[in-house]
Amino acid sequence: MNKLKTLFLMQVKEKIDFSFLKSKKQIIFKVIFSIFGFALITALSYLVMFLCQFLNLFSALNRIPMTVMGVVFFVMFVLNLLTCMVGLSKTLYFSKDNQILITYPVNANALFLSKMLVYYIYEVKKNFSFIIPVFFAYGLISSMPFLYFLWFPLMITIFTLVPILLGALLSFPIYFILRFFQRFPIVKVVLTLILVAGIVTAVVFAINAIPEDINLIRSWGVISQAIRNFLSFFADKFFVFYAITIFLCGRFEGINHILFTEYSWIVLLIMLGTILVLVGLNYLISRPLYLKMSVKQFEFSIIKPKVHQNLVRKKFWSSCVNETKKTLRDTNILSTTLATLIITPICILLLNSIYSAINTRLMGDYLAISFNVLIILLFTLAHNINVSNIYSKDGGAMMQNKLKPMSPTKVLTPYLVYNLVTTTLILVASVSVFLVNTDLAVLDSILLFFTLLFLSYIHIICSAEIDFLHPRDLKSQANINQNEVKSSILTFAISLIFFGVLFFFLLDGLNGVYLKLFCVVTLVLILRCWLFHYKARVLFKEI
Amino acid sequence: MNYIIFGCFLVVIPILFFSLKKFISKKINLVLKIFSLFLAVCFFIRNFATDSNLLENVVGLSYQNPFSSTFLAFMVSILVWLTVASTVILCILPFFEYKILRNYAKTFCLVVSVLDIAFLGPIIYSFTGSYDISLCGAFLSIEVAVSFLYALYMFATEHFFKIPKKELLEMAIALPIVLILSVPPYVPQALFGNFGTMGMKDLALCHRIYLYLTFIFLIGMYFLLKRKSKDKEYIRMVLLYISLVTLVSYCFDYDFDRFIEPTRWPLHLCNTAMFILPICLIFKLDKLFYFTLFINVLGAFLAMLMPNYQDASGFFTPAIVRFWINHSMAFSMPVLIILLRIYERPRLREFKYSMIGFLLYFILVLFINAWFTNYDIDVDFFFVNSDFIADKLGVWAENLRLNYVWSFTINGLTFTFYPLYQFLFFLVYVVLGLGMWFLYAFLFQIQDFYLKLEEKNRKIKLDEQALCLRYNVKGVYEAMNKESVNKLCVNGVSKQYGNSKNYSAFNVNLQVQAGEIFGFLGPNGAGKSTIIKCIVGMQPATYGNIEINGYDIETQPQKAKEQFGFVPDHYALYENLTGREFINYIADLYGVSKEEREERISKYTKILALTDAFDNKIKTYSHGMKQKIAIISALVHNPKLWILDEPLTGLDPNSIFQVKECMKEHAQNGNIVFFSSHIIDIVEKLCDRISIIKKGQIVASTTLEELKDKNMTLEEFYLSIINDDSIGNKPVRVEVKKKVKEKPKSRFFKTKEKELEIEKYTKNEFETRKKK
Repeated sequence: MNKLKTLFLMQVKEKIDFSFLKSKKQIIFKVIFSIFGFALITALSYLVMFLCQFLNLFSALNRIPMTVMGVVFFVMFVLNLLTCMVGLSKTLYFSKDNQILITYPVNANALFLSKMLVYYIYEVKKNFSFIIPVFFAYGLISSMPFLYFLWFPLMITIFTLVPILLGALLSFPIYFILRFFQRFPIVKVVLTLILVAGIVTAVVFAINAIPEDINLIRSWGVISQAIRNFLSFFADKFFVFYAITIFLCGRFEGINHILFTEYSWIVLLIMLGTILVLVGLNYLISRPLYLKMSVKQFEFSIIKPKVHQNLVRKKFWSSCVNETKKTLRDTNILSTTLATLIITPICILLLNSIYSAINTRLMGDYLAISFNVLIILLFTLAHNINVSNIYSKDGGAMMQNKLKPMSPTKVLTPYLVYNLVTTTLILVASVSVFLVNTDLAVLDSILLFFTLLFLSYIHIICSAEIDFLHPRDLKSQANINQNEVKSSILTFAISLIFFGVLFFFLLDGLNGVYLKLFCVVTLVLILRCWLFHYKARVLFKEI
Repeated sequence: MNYIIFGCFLVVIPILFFSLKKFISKKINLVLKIFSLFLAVCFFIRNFATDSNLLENVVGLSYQNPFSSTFLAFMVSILVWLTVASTVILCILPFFEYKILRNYAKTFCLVVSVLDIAFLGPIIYSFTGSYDISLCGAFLSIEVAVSFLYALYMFATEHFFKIPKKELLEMAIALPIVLILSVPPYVPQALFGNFGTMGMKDLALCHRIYLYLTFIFLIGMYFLLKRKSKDKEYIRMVLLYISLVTLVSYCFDYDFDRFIEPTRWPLHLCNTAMFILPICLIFKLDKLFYFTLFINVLGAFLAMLMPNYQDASGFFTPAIVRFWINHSMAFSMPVLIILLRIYERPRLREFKYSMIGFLLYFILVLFINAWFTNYDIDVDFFFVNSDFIADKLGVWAENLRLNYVWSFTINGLTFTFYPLYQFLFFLVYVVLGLGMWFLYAFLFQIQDFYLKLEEKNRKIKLDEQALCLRYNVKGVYEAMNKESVNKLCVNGVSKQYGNSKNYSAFNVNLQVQAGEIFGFLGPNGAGKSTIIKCIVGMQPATYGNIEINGYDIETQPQKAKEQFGFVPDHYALYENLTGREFINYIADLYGVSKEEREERISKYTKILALTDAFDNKIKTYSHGMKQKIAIISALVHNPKLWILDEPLTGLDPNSIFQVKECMKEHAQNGNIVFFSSHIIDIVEKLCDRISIIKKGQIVASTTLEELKDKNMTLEEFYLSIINDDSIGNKPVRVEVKKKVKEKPKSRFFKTKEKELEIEKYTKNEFETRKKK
């Protein structure tokens, strides 16, 4: 038992950051921020539910029916199961610590159990950051009794075992698929492309299905009925999830809320029984497989390659070519780029098809332009979040960049070429689709394109700066990647601020809105470039 | 008649001046201070006594022009404006020892006072509406006389027209600030008209222009004054000038008649800032300042977003100009004061004091509002009495205000409060104040980062300049130390990581000649890798310098890096490139020609048995293969210096032999091989000379020949040094004086203090070792 505890603690510290426990001040900060985060998500969920209730979106009774929460619960369960399948296959079979852990004088069962426990704790922690606040908001808006706020977290903590145990069982086929992809990355790219093509086809089909004239107020009755039909369908066909939701949240009878129904205990027993069965299956199937597979090497026999010639290039150009080549050989990045390149224009097309079907006033037109810009920016900037790891990704090789006989700026810039080029392509594609669907003047269109392009470049430079000033050890899973968090915040901040400013300026009826924005963004880009160069020159050698 | 009075003062004042000078033992500065204060009092009384100003109604020099000509209106408007600047300069002059003030006094103030004399009659007329004798006229005559004589005195005592070019430039840069900020609120309208009735609220263009100007002022002033950040007194002088001229501009609206109406007292939050700021700059009043920092700044910012003037006003309408001068300054000045460190950054204690101050202020305005409402229904200090804010927030706020009213009567006076609304008002403000605390913390963080960055950049530039000076060359890359050609010179290198007080390496001195294979030995954690990292430029040395083939690694990194190839202890390669792509990439970086790289790549892949896998991706390589790639990449440009840090780990016996052969061959070709290893046998067989490092210090250096002569193996020698606790065992811990850390000097112009410290320490250590 002690060994299990040691193993568990060792791994949990690697997966979850407990460094805040070192000082009281940090504990207080952590507690305050956690409560604040919890309250924020609860408040946001409450707001959304309040709006739905206010608009009588799901029920004419000015209430959110339990079936809606059933759908939410189902979606969350499916997502949880998917992440558990992929996450557990990585934790159990691909994790590099297996090769060390297996050498420790511990029972192999304890190893498996410790891994599962660590994953369980991680999932429970995740529940507190999303599913529990959402259901708390539901409890608040439905004026549930106090007991609900204790019952729900307790039961969901137990229920979390279901997707984990199920995920552990299903992770084995996933493991083989992932191994296959690792062996043949091209298959992964092809499959991704097929998937994207499928999505594209579906979206195009959906676009064609959009009626030429959408009048939400006139067709509200039809929409409302469709929503209610869907909810009835869910309650009927996905009865299990609906029953679990009632078990977790209780039921309304008239205006009275009953937390424990006559079926509650039956559902509880079934749930516990299911967990026991899954534990048994895992013991019989996953545990031995884990013990067998965890020590398997992932080295493949070397295929005799084609012999290439030595090529001579200029210093900076060679850096650009090789850094881009490295990135292009990373299938994850390549797939993300391809997906963004295809999905962004399609989204814009879809958005504009809906807009064109709605009869809008001038303010609506401005809102449509601003929303188009917001969507384009969100997609493009999100694609570049990977830049916030661009140097850290190289690990020790990044540190050896300091050996290159080049100025720091010339060492750091080639890493950005890939993102600068792909961003330009994504913007060309998506802005073109947007401009085709709008009647913006040619000059304004050009200015808007360059403004968006420069904004994306600013984001790339800022993200790169974040990384080279705070390089991270990407092998450690303990902490959330702060660089990515900062870059994501920057993505939202830039997109939302630009959306707000553009809409405000358009509404204000100012002359030369696009020119002004272009000038400001160009100035900021110049400043950011200069600061990047300045910081690289002064700080690069100290990192 | 006014000129007669002026003439009298022109005679009386010099007599007074010299009598005073004689009376107080020729302490001229004290006399000047007395006259400055006298001038300030006259200026205050004159403005306070003036109940109207004819210029306030003039628009564009023509509409309601009280003078016979446009020229006269123009001159009077300009002079009223310039007199404010001139008077404030003369008032602060004796309190600060700065040339710029004296230069302004003898040029600008002299010219303005001469013009004032010339236009004395019309100026007095603009204030009083009459050319007859008046109190205002008399005081203005005194002011002009004092200013003229004061400026004349400065002119005579400060070398007349002689002003160096640098000082003239400084005056020219400061002139816009001197002039723009001292403008009385009605002068822009009198001179330029009021630009019609444009939208001045709801973030309309004109409203935004004023907002932009406020931020431009704040940022511009910060960057202008930051250059003088070490001279706090100078910054205080500039800020005091600004706060005084803006106070004067603001007070143009406050005369005696208005002051006797308590409901018109300047008790609005931003109005208080106008008085608090000069007081805080003249006296050291911490608590008052932090009140203005947290409370006034926030209030001014909110007021700038939601101004309470008429929307249908012109851009230069006096009320608008006054509003913006008041609020822009209330917003910018405390921020400038704290950023320029006139006052120290607030701690939690100061924040608490400011909140207590705010509570007292809030209670005061609540009480005064309730009391004065009995006499004037418009009284609304801090906007907590009326529905001005509630109206902007919406119906719910209005309801909140009107649904909870508490009223009582004492001695026939009714006191009305809106407890819930006013309490929430207070609470929201406190929460916003707390937000300001975090905002300031963020601002300070950014400021510190950029100041540190600037300081480091300054140090780099200083080093480069020193290098150019030393070798008498123009560009840093032209410099070359001829004495270090074909050598690796490590001169007194010390290294501290981060804020650690311990030195990982201390005062390391090494010199390796061309043709030598130099062994660098030491136990784990002795500092070998630290020194190597400093040599290759991966870590900057804290003190000392390193020259590779005549080039300094810190100051000429590119040139120096071209001279060496490095094999690190932990290879780190681009795993997604093939071996060939990686080596070609490195060859490109060093500008290796096609022929040379073909020859070298073919040679080294052959002897290290890597030919077959050379076109595979590096991620498929074994540990040894990756090490071989690292070795080839270090040799592909045939470097003058080859540095190897534990290079043989993971290599097969054949490859170890080949690498050793390569090292010998490289040294025989007149290059340097710098080799760090734990494997003493190999070092003994390969190296010509060795150094042993222990606890960050070089504790022994010898040649293998010397050891042979002593009949000692390297292993015996190494163990005798390492196991002898008396050698190099003193912990390398030096209390680095803060002064040195705070003021990074050029590495070539080290502070004497630091040099002596290192010298002293080394000497002691050396003598202890010698005794042993």
